[in-house]
Amino acid sequence: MQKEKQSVKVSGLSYSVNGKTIVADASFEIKPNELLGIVGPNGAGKSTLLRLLTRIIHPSGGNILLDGKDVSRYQAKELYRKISFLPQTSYFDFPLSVLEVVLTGRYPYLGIFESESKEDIKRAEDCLSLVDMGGFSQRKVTTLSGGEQQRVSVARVLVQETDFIFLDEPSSHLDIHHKFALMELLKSLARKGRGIAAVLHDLDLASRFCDRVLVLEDGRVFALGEPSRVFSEKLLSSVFKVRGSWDAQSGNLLVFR
Amino acid sequence: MPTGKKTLSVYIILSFLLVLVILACVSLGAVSVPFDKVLSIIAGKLLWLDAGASVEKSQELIVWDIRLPRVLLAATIGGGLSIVGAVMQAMFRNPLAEPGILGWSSGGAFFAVLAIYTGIYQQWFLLLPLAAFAGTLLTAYAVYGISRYRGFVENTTLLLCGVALGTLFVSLTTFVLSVSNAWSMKEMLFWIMGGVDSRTWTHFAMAAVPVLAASVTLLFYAKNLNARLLGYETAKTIGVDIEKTTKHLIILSSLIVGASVAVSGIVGFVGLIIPHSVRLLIGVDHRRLLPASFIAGAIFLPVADLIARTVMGPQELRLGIITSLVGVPFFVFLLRRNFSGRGIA
Repeated sequence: MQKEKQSVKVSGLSYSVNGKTIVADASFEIKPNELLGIVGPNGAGKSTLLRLLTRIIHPSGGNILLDGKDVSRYQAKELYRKISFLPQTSYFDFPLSVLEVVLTGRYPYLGIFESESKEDIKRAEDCLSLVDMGGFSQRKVTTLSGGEQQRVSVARVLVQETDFIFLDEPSSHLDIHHKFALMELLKSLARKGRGIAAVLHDLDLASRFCDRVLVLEDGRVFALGEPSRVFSEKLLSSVFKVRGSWDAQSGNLLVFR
Repeated sequence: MPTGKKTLSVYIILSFLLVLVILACVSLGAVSVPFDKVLSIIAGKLLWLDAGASVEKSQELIVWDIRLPRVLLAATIGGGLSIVGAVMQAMFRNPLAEPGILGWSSGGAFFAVLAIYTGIYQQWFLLLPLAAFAGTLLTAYAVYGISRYRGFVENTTLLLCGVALGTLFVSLTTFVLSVSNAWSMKEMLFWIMGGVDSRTWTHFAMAAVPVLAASVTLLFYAKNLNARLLGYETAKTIGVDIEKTTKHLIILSSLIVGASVAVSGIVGFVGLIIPHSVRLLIGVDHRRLLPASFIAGAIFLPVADLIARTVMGPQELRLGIITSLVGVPFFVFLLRRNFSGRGIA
């Protein structure tokens, strides 16, 4: 039997708070080298699911196996050398430099008094270039626009060099050019063997770039599969309350009211 | 870190200033003692030499028994309160957090006064600082617990709750002092508007040991504090155990504040003025900010004390008045900078 390498296996995952169920009996797998889009209407439990996957909160039931081992049994630093997370909101109210922010992504690799090496700094600069923020490393994050800050956060996640990356609405704040650039970057990382799961609001974006999409509704996995199969007219109208169809010419999903 | 050279020169300048300020504050005052005599008295005492006929007994008394412990105590608590300010601001991601404003010092002072009033401090000399530590810790946890919700500390709640509890403890302190006839007005002022007047080597030792030990330990949390600036979720997912280390940080900080309050009462705003000024000098990274804040605070408070005891001479002002006079405009400036653009007026 093959060793359980690079996999995230979720089974029977549920989470409830104050008697209210937010995630219910979710079972799925995230494969290395795939870009998985997590979609669903507001309040479907998408962010909560990501917070469970990244061990920010702990499940009420079920489990998450990372490389065959329950995530709750990992040491913090060991875990976050394997998975990284881009939250919905990043906070930049203290004037750290862009480089200092990105370098925090190396913290899981550093001892208590160990400082970032020259190589770490080089890695950070490379990741900044990947998100089109090369040359910004000495700027104060407080002086950047929302979209630029978001790209810095993405660089911080990339420099963590994890097998699995979880992103909560990574394309918010970004202009259309950088939105596409980011999705292409995520796709190329997936092709290089990373497993990436991103909560996306934009169904068009999800259908264009994701290998698979997971549709959440009321905390349940409603559908999971290739976008072209999942986003049927029936599903779009019942889950998202929109009409939609696939444009035969471009192969893109068209969504309208 | 990349800006190593600048950091090093800031450290060298600050350290040089610290020594200079300590000597100057020992030399200056109602009765000034020349610099060279200060040096020879201190050197003589440290090296067990006889200072000789050039030094009068009264000068020796002023320098060694009165001023040096006072100045060193001011430096110690100035450094300690500054490092705690820097820690609290990062821990709560709130630029206005500070032991005075969040009520920690008042809680410590109230417990110290209780320990004196009930007489338990006579049982063992360390019961006074321990009581102050307990009061600080209790207040810190109360303020933190009330304003915390699902991992997030609500900024406005934190500040308002701190101010409210602080006011409560000042009232309670005043109450306890006023029902115990033995206490004079001066004593009341000592606790509420703190100071380092008539402090001895014993006071210095009582504060210095916990303050220095806890300050050095806080340096272990420098990267942890950097991570916290980016928010709860980011900090957690780069490996910071927020819940556990918040406890450590609160206990270490309370130890410093409690030890300071036990010997000098409430000295406010130092933890606000110093860390923010030092951030402007060398940036936000706590590996540089924490030690530099300690040194800068150790420079600032002896100077503030020098002003307190000379500006209205021969009458001494309370040290807490001076720090408030500097601190409140600072506070208002930070308040306007951080809370602009919300609400309608």
